[in-house]
Amino acid sequence: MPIEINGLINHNMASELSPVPVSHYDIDAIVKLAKVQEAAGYDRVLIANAATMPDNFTTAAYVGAVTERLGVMLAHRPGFIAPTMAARMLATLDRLLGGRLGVHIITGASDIEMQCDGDFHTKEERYDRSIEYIDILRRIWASESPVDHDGKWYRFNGGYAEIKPLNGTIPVFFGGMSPMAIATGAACADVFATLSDTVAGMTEVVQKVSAAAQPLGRKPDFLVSLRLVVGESEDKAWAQAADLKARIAALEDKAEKNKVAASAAGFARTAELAGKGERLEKCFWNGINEIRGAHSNSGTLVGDPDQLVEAIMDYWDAGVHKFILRGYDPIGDAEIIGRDIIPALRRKVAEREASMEVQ
Amino acid sequence: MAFEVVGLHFFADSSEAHPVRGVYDPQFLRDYAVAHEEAGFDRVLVGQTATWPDPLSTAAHIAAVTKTLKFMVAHRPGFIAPTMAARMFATLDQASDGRAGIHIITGASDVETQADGDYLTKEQRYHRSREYVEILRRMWSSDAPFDHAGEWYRFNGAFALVKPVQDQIPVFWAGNSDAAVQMGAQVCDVYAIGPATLADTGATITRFKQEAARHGRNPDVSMSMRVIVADTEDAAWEKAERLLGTVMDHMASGKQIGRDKGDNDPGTLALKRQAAMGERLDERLWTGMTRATEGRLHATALVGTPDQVAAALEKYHAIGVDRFLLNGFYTIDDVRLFGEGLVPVLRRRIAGAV
Repeated sequence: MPIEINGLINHNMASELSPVPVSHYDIDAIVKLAKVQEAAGYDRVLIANAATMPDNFTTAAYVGAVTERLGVMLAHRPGFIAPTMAARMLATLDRLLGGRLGVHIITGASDIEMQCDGDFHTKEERYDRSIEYIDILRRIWASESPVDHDGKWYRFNGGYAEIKPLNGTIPVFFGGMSPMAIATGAACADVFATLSDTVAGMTEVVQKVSAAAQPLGRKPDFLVSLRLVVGESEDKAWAQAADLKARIAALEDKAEKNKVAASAAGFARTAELAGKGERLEKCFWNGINEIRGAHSNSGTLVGDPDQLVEAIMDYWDAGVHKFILRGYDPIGDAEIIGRDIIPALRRKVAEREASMEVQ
Repeated sequence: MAFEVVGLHFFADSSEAHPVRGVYDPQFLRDYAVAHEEAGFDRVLVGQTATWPDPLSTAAHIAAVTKTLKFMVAHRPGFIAPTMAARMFATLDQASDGRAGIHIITGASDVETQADGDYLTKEQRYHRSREYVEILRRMWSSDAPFDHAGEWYRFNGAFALVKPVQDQIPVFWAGNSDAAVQMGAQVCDVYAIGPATLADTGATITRFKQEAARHGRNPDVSMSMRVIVADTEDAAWEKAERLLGTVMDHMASGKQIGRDKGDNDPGTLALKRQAAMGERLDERLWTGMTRATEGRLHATALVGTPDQVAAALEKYHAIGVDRFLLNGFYTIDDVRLFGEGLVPVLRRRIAGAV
């Protein structure tokens, strides 16, 4: 299983260290973030989506025109676009990205956020609908002729896409931590994606989701989102982490808080993690989670490059083959991760796979 | 009243002269957009149907390789939550630094709307489109989240963090039925019509403007027109006949040209009626291709030298057409050809006439 290393593009250069008003859409920053992460060797960049945020299809299509090989992991919430049309939109974007699109299905968020765009269904109903939605996407991508459908959530006659994904389909990432999310992800995800977590936490997620998927004949892969503090030495890395915590704490009252996300189960898990202590496992650091609590997705690995690669390989050994790896400076840290972590990690995975073949 | 020369964007190098189906060619998209910009076009329409690639992402992509070219992105209400659509267009306007435009297409055919799961009647769809446009504008301008409980849409706390760069993203509107005219006259900035004779175009404009005046409004008019130009008039007509021969050959070999919207589609029927009026209408309005393709596409064309065609267009301008959507039959070659003669000549004529 090759490793997939993903980054992130926001719609401006904002970070915890340098807040920018969220209403500022900065296409120059987007282009720079895309080009730097492409040069750093990232496979894809996550482009998020929420009920008041700028549109990510548009941003991703623009990114496709200024990059050569970078892919996108496009967050997408079912319920607001007819699935036949969404299938064509995603197929179009996949073509604009040379076949490197992944769609990250987000179902839960909060009732409040869904009602902003006119969806008054319960979370339970939304998960049920997501299964049908993903099924329709895949049928429209695959079908050589128009499709009729009369389901629980959707009905149409002659749904069709003249445009198909370059590689026949588009990988479906799926996020969520509630029991319902786990059941739904097991039923339809290609990749089950979580917020930052420890190796022990991910081992549990892999076990639970795989157990739910196995009777359905499915075997999803896993993605975890981690932040990295890379130092020349272990001591320097921890000093950088302490400095980071102080600077972010000083800015905390200015930071944009994701109040809606704070009610989601995944973020509750972050808060729970933060309660377990500042340092966990080999080098998992909760410093920023402690400050930002349930507004945060900032479980961080701290160390020198060798230590970080080793710590990330622990996740790989636990069955997690896809990562979002980012630092705290969207440009500088992407360059450091591209230099010190990504090539070493790919080498390590290749070695591990070669030795597994020998066995 | 804004004079604009508008082009028609394609997803691949395909036209009646060399039809290609099911191809989406990003390199061509970018080249074609740049060609339009270099030829002096102000804007391009990016179309939408129930099976085609997505026009919004396409426009965002070509925004990255152009600087001044504006967009008229076809958009069918009924398939995306209007609050989300508002954010999509605001984002396009931001990414392109103020070049977005939305072309509201409501009618299409029942067959096409049902393909995406919309079972409303055409009349209902036009009423819904009006509310949809009102929501878009409110989302683009509102400084605070707002609730809405309308005839077609309901939501609580809708908001767009990012607003358009333009004061108003222009809203284009198409449709010929009574409902289309009544609803469009209340909300659109630009009424978009197809090619017709001067007399018929005048009647269409009068009808729409009268309806708009009842609401104290005066929208622009944009007319689409196919164009065949050559150095001499004879050469242009020969080109038209040759083109017709090519299309007839394609059809004889079983290739479908244009969109089949069913036998009772009003747009198709109107084009057939136009073709039945004669092969050459007014001075140089040619219906040969419309007749051959049985009204399945807007193929009625002005034929002549660049100056003759510009003079013919100027007559439409004199009766109230502000913007011209000009499309040839030879994709990028025609765009470049128009840039050499027709577009600059038309601009000079309109500037002199104003």
